[in-house]
Amino acid sequence: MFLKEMKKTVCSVVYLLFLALMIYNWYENFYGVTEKEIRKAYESDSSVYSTVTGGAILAEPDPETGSYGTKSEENPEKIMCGGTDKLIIEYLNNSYATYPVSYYKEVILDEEEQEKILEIIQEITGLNEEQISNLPDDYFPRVNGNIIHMESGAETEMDIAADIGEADVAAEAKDYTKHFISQVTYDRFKELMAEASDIIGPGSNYTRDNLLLYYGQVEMDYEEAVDEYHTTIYDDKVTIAFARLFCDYLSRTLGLYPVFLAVAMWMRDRRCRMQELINVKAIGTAKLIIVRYLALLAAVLIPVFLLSLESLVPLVEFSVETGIEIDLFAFAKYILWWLLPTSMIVLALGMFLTILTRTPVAVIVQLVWWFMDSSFTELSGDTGLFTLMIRHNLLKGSELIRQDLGIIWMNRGIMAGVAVLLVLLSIVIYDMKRGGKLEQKNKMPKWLGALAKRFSISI
Amino acid sequence: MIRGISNLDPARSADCFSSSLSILGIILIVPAMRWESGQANMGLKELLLTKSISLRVVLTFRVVVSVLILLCLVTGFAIVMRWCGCEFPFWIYIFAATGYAIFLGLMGLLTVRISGSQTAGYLSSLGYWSLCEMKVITEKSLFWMFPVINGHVEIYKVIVLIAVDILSISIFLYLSNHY
Repeated sequence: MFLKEMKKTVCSVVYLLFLALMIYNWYENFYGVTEKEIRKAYESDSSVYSTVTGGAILAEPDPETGSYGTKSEENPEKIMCGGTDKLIIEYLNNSYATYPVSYYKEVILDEEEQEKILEIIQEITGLNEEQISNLPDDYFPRVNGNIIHMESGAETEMDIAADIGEADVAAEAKDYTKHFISQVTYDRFKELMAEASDIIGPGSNYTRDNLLLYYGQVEMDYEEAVDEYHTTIYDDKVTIAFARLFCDYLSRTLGLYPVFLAVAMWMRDRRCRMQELINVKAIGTAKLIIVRYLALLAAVLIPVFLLSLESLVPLVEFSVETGIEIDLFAFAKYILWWLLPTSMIVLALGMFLTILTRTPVAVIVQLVWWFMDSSFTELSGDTGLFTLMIRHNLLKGSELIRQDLGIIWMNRGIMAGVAVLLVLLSIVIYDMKRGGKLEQKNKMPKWLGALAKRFSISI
Repeated sequence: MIRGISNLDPARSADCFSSSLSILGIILIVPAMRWESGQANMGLKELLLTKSISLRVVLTFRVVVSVLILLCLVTGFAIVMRWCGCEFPFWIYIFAATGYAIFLGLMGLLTVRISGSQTAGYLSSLGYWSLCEMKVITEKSLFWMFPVINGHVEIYKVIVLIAVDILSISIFLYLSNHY
């Protein structure tokens, strides 16, 4: 029966569309990444994913290169400088960019709120309102995190040094009215930024994570780059890094599209008027539900395993050529613990809601959940207890997974557990419906009369 | 609530039209064949085929009404955005957003007609929309159909969108009378 249900699923138009969407998503995001990284490792050049973070992840760092990419580090001076610069720019325009649900939203503050922001800026810079409105062009560094100040014909620092002497340059550098020097400690700065963030609203540039993201990038040195390389080669055994990225991209697909398969499968019985026939069959409800559920799960995950071979095979060749040990089962392990619970919950929810309501409402519910989850989850290191799609859009960064391992396991356990619960509930409800106990028309009060006919759902 | 629509520049306004308003096309146009699609409704189809008015006329009427409602909703939203201080070429963006929403709706409707499954119709439209949201299909991609890129209207994209819409509706009307 399992094979029969699988055949019904894979031979449907809905499944073909699901496959096409998944393969297209994989092709655009992940196809060729492994081969490019391996090729760049042999050429010892910057790789696709490490253009910002340094050399190819599969090549040992060269001590003579000088540049090993950047890493995220909480550098108080840089963060205070960048955060204050951005706050002043937005204050002067009274236009604050926020991304509460990943979409841009402009926030304009009223007079009282602007006053509070001004007080924050005054406390950080030590300047008064007039000075803040008329800052020198070189008050902040020209490149300040993600802010670039375009010079308007101002003298460079070197010209100034030539004109007024080195001692005066040193004095000017210590003058907080000429160049940014924070008048508060870093802890106080963080408190003030949190206050600004509360005033402006969620998704502002002044949350701790965003300040770190925009202004907390520092250059890696050779030793750190070597540590990163050893982590990739020996801890991650090469394949784990690629398996993580593969699962990251596919989790976005599996967080939404499988619900259509579940809805189509259960709506098909009603559409083909097979419901009465199924109701009188001897097959147990539990067996029917579980077999269909497992058939859907297999239909969803088998292509995922097959797609992983595109990355695994070149890595095996790489391992043979270089003698570097890899983990052959990394992809399988990661698909099972990362993608399986997501697929389980999506299919289970789709199945449960379709059986309960006999409508495709599960599509809307899953769409909303998928959208909210995508909007509120960062690209890496942001797994919560109820996160649907775990994200890790990096080849490196295994420490992010390790530090969140406890929450990740709880999350996956919750997803799988709720999926099993929904399957059990589906069995109960379907069994009741087969026995004629949960029909809408039976529940309509007699006094509704003609309205009862209009709103009852017939099988 | 979800996204801000005040004081947006042309590029961000276009983003709002393409990602949020376009869903109206899926909601209004894809269900046009809901009562006739699928094997269960063979009896209904046979009944309709005996009527003097052709099924093609009925379906055309439904699609036209859906498009008119879509146009009204898009125009209304554009008025609200303008009132909130957004800057964008008014009628051009309304035309682009409506054309794009029609494209999404027709994609789903054609899928419904060919496959006989409403679910497949919704999957094709929502699948394309979600690929655009996930930036799998980007503005530089060949499959990007919204004709406004970085706040500028691309004429060749407009022509492609109109051509695809006309082709889709033609195929749909041709198929609608052949069961």
